[in-house]
Amino acid sequence: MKNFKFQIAMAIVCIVLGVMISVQFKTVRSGIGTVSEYRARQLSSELKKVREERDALLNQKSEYEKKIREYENTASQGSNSAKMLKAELDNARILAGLEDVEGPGVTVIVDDLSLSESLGYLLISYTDLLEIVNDLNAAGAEAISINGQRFTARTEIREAGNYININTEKLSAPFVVKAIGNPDTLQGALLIRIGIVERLQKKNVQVTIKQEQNLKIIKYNGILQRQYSKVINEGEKQ
Amino acid sequence: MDKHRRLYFFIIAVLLGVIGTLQIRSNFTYNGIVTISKLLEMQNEIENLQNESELLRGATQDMQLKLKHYKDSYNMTGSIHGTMEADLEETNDMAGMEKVEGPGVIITLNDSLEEVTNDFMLDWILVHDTDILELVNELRAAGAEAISINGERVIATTSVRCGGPTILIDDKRHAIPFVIKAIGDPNKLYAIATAPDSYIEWLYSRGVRVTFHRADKLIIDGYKGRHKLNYQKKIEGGETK
Repeated sequence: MKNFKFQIAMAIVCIVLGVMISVQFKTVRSGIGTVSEYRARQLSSELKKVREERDALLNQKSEYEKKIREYENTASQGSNSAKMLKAELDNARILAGLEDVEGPGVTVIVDDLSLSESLGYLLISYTDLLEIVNDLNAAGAEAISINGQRFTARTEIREAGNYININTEKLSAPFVVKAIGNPDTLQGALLIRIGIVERLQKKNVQVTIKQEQNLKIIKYNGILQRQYSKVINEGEKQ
Repeated sequence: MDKHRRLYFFIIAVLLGVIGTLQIRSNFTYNGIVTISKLLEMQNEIENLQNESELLRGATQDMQLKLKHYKDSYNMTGSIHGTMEADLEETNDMAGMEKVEGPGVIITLNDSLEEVTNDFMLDWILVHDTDILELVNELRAAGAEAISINGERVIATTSVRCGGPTILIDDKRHAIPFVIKAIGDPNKLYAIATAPDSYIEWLYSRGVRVTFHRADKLIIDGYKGRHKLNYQKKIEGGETK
């Protein structure tokens, strides 16, 4: 009896040992593990470097912007026409999404409650966000941002692996959508029956809508590059 | 006999311990599972950031130049009117308020002519607001600099909604056929039609009549609607993060 027990224990130990050795062999022999690990480290340090470089340039950009605005402010203190020009410039910047703005509106938090991870696919798809933005715009939204990314005339919302890219920036849930406009209209438009919120809730996405009296939305921080299009002035008929 | 057994057991236990710690230690530096897709993702992000930095470098150089202009004209004439005017046109252009021209693509969409044999098909054969929304999104992702739908300029606040037999683009009614124009890199824009999982492909499979052309020279009008400046105002003193 005693002998039998011992044999079982021995068998279990041997099995565990066998499995461990084979796992060990596989990780060491295939080499993929260690090689890609090295590559991953290399890439992540490179990533850190380029990100720091980008951030430094962003800082420099806002530094210059500040100085330019100081000049404009001084200039606009002069003549009336300069004052009007400055006001027009401010409005154009607001409309282009190049100015931090504030006003009443709604904050919409769209949260997958980390369900996407266990499901292995994105519970909140890019089309959901696209629809939210479109519905808010239809309800008269004047400025929209998603996780701090300002929605401009050229902003895309794309699925990229386990992330959603907005303004080419990698984002993931929870998504915080801010919109300035009439809070009642914005909220009502989202809550329409069989609308986007109801459909999101049906697939277990948590949606929280909060009305705000003083919402701040930051400007687009990138570059709206022009390479192919050029302005043609009216009168210059083709 | 018993002693021998104990010895065996001892050796196995030691081996197990050594291998176990080895395994754990090597796993420790593993940093989660490194998959090929993760590596590619990182590579992609690096590329994106580098491109962004490239653009930022250009932009900061432009700003430096502008600052110099400001300084010079301010010192010489005491005004920076000319420079501000140029800036206004550029900013209006970014907002989509200016008429622009350039190369690009023209897409036309029309309802499918297929016979309707079941209720499902009703949804499929028509051109919907979401179809236009998806195409605009793909064009934006492909770097489109200006987009219009049936002559309506698409800006940040543009909405595309279903309005019965028509589609409302910024509250203006439009019906089939829909003509979407986009200015940008023609090759990149054209790629949205040829990519394997493109939205255009889906439209084709539904029988929606789609045409897709490159154009060397397109003209897209500026936005003519109401400026939405009733609720938002700029934050004085700037910088709030």
